[in-house]
Amino acid sequence: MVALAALLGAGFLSRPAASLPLYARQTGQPCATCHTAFWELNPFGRRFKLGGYTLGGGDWKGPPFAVTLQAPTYTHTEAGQTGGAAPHFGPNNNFAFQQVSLFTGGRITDNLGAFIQGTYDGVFRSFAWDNVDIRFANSVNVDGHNLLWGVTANNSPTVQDVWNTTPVWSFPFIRSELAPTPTAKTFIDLVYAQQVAGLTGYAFLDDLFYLEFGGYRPLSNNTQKALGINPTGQSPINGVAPYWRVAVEPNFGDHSWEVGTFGLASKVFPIGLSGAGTDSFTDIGIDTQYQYLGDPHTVTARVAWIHENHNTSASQTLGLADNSNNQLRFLNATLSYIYDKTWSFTGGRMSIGGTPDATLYGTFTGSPNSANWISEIAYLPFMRGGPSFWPWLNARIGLQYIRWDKFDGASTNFNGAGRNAHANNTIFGYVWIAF
Amino acid sequence: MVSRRSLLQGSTAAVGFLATGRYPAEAQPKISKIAVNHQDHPDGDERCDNCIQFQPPDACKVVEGSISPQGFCRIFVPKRTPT
Repeated sequence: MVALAALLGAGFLSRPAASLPLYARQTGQPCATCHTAFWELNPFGRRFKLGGYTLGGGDWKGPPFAVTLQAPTYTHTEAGQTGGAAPHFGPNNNFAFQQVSLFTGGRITDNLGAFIQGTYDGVFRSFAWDNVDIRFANSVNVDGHNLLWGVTANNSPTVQDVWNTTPVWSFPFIRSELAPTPTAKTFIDLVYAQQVAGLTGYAFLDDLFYLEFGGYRPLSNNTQKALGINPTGQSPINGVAPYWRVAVEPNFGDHSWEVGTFGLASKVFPIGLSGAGTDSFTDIGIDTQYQYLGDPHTVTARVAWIHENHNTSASQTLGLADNSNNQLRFLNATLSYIYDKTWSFTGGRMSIGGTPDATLYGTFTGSPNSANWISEIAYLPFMRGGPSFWPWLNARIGLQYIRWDKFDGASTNFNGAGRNAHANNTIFGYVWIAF
Repeated sequence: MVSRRSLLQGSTAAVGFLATGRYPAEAQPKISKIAVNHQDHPDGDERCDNCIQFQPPDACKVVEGSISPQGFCRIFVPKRTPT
């Protein structure tokens, strides 16, 4: 079910754009004030978000809109994909107009602000709502301690998070929609993105301790359809799925270090079927992020590890799983060096593994195991401000390479048709513009 | 089981309590000095009273607290010089 939900959502879940020029206009700050390299946030950007996107300072009087384009993009896989990389595309070497997103939000009142995104997906030729995060935030002094607190209404677990280790905002910040992706993924990893409504409350004490708790409920099928989401095959949450986040972020000089945990748990109806009761899952993540924020040198190290315990007894009864219980373990570790806020170099490792279940995952091997190495170079010419005719222009021009060691459970012949993991090695070139 | 209605009601109550609590709230959360690595001395020619965000005599549009005109922080943006 996880795999099915992931596939159905894939058209809408590719990474959105951020580093919003509408926020630059609102604050009067260049992109580099909030970002190391868009869209990774620095300590200032994290507090801007936690403060409800309300901070002012700019003299912009126009409407609060921004646009991002992921175009053109180019995707090459080591071997072509039989039948085409996607409808309307060839087996290999595809150029695409991948996405255009319209954003609005920013400061609504002194304490209320928003991040609202709608995206036209140029690969799957559809429009849908994308990431939404609406916040009320305030700051109080409690016996000499500063307490920044807030409430966020959002539509995707971890979209509200401010560290770039959790699924919605983790590296890679952009990925090809025309490259193969593994079948297995954890529930917290965008499976419910744009399918749910969430409400969480948070507190950030003395710029150090962060605590957040709340829950998510599924949106009705009609609501999802109205918002451009196809609900077919989803495994909806039963009731409220609790979400939690705890972190500590000491800042000292040019160093910022975060250590934390996050998670989501729920009972779910397997592909919407209620005849056999519910499955359940518990995703527990542990993460850390270190940033060195020098000038001209910036370094970021990010590590996230997620363990999922998945009770599949209802799925087993329905013939949708072989086992009554499965586990997944996910790792995403990346290291970025950014020179002069202009050149970004990143390398990383992703792996997912767990118990084999051929029926649940639907893979030839039955195993959910996949692993890759990723590297990327990106040029960001406008982080300190765009050209004089439009100083809020930003751009990220990048080349990404993903090398698969293992894919859907095997290094060789993972699909039973003789395809090896290396056949999915991907070169992805992109131009990503925000204005 | 927690219903969405009760969740919303609980959150509303929490918001109401905090909004009317005994602690004075700031009009708009600014960014803490520690998040911008603020210092009370300049960095070469770069100092707060040359920054577009400085508000004389001792405030900043985006950083909280009292700001020394001779200070400096990570988000310094120089004022535009008239041409």
